[in-house]
Amino acid sequence: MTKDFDNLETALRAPEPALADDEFSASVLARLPARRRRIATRRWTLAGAAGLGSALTAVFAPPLGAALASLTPWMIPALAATTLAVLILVMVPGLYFLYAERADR
Amino acid sequence: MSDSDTTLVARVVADDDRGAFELLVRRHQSAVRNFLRRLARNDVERANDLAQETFIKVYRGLQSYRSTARFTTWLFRIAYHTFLNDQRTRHASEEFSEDEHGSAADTTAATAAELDVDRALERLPVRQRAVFDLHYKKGMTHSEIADALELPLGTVKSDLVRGHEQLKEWLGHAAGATQ
Repeated sequence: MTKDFDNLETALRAPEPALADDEFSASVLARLPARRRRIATRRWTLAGAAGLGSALTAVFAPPLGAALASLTPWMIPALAATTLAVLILVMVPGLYFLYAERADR
Repeated sequence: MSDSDTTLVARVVADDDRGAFELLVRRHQSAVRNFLRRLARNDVERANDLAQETFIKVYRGLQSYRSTARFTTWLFRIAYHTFLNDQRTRHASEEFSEDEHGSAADTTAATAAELDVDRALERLPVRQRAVFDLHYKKGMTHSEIADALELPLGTVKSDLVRGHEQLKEWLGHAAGATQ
């Protein structure tokens, strides 16, 4: 039995060298994706999107619905046109919010 | 007292605290780079690139990290898979021939070359290198290694036994050749 053979277990357990960080951490941080917005910002964005959607709906949905109904009276009844207008006006800020959320990840 | 890994992870997840993430990187960079050097057969540049990629994946995946597992177990799992993916894309066939089918000619050449333990470890298949490094250098238990490398517990144990036997054989041959 050789010395190497005897000392295998000891050699395997020898501590590994501690590698100096140098610029390693800095390089990793430089490659991270853009900073996510804080939760408070997200809440304000959500509240703003909801408020904007509501305001746009209140102001523009009835005339937009009427306009849609007058343009295509044979396809969309007035009530359906108004509903469609409401959906569009609510979805635009909502989709913007979802887009912003995804872009953060 | 320094913050625990779990505390730092929580700060990164809640507030995107880059300072906390930097502490995590500084704390674990040496272990991860050494681990990847072992897997990459001491290719320092490649190991450093893969270590960077590992930490970036860690950052992106922190939202899904569950503190039921130790942070280091999760970290080394990502490092191991990062290495395997790189290996597949770079030279899968080379690794296969080196790892699974070390030829007799290779063994003979190596025995004449005064192998030390580190060089002998480099000749083990990649999975065994990972198991040996996590066990002997990082002090992980068998079940932690199984968790980190996503292997059955029995495979980890048999890798250690077989690898040990193989190392003894190589080192014994090398010592015999020099006497």
